[in-house]
Amino acid sequence: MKPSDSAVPNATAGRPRVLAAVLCIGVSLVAVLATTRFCYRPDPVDSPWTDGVAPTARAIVQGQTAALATATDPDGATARMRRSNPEWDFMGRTFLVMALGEVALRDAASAPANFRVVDRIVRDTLEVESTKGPRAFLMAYAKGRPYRVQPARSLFVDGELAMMLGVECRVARAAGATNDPAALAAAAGLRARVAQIEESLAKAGDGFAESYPDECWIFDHAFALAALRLADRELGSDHDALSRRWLARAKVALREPATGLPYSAFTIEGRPSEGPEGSSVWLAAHLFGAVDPAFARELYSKSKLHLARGFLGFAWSREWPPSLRTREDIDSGVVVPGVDASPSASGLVMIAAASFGDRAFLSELRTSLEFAGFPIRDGNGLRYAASNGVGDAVLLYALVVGPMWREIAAPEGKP
Amino acid sequence: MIDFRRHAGPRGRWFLPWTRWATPRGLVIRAALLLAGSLAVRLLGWREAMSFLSMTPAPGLALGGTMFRGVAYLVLHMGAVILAPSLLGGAALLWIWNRVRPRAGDSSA
Repeated sequence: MKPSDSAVPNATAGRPRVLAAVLCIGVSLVAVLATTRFCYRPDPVDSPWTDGVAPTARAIVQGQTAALATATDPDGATARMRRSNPEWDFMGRTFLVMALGEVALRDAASAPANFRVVDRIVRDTLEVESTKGPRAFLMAYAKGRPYRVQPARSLFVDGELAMMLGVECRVARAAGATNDPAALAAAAGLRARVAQIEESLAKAGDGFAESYPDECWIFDHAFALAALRLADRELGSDHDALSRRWLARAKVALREPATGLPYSAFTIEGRPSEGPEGSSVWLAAHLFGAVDPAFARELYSKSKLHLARGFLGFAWSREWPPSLRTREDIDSGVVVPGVDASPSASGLVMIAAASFGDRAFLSELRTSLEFAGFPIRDGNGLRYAASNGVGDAVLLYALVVGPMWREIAAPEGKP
Repeated sequence: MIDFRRHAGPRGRWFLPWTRWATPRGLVIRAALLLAGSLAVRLLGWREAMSFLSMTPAPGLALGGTMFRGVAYLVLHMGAVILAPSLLGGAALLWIWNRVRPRAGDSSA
């Protein structure tokens, strides 16, 4: 090294030297920022548009099913997740089941094994519901006051359980196991759950169905409508008129005027309690795609306008539109300061981007994930340190969504 | 071996290389420290503590040590990924700068 480093600086040399150093670091920083994305950008083959199952998806499936194989929750991950939010345990099951359904249709050889795993998850979920009650999957404030509509039902629980049961029926067909006792039980369970959703929506009348006491969510209604659509495919029922009526009402009553996005939460009468949130609207856009594709695409476009952000090949989602920002909560997760990136919204947006064929956006979202999600690859597959079980299941679903979803959303053609 | 005294600033104390950062070697040392710090927290298994990001920010929830380790990991990892290459690149540019633009009182060229 040059003797420069040993030279004692003098007053005249110090300032130019510092300015030169700052300039050099600045130029270098710009170059690093501009090229970092290339280190984290996913392989184009590793996407939901690949034939078969993307390698990353396979690795996550391995990690998720390995966790299921140990019923004792040895590292306490599920228990920690439940302590933070019992909903995450439930939603993690739902997204994993939906992902396994997609995997079964992408890789026919995996269908029998996936059918068994899906059945195990569904049976365990139903058992928890029957022994501990549906509120076992809800946050504590569900017990704080009574539901306005009695007997109390949560559309959150009923909608996602109907989805799980519907997927089990579909996977059973893919596995050639429709006469399996588990498949027959799933079909019966789906019928009962659909009847329950019909009853909840009917009791709501011109209003909306509760997930928590006097708290209704666009997320849960979207799940319920998509589950009804799946049930129509699997059971031969027809809920098109019901869905159309609900959507017509919601498009008017739940529209936030400044953005055109739907409110996330509202009372039975439709009075808003939470504004548009990325953690709700992205998934709602995906799920509404099963019942009203034009409305879903419009919702996706508006959400992208108000919530999607990007920089130098990285992309993420805000939880709230800039004009409607509010305080962080359990749904937003820890919002990254400066860029307003919400972990939950940035995860769920991947499902929407995948299902609407937004390849460039999904690639940028995944670049951000690989950069800031801290993937851990080991003998148990792949998981993300900055995520949790439900986050990994969401990502898995985003990577495999395709054949089953297209079938559900198809305008015609009952099985 | 790094002779810290050779990097000492006007006051000549042993830790003064930290004040004399605007040299190629000073930048390389800082990049190396960031990389070493990142490696250390990784070896300590603190990567797992990034799970604090997926936990609730609700008031009163004691994330305590998990959050501390997670933030330490995040800072050092991002430092190693973004800042260390920038410092190394800056050091290279500064070295070239010193070669082509010698300045009075600075014999680096």
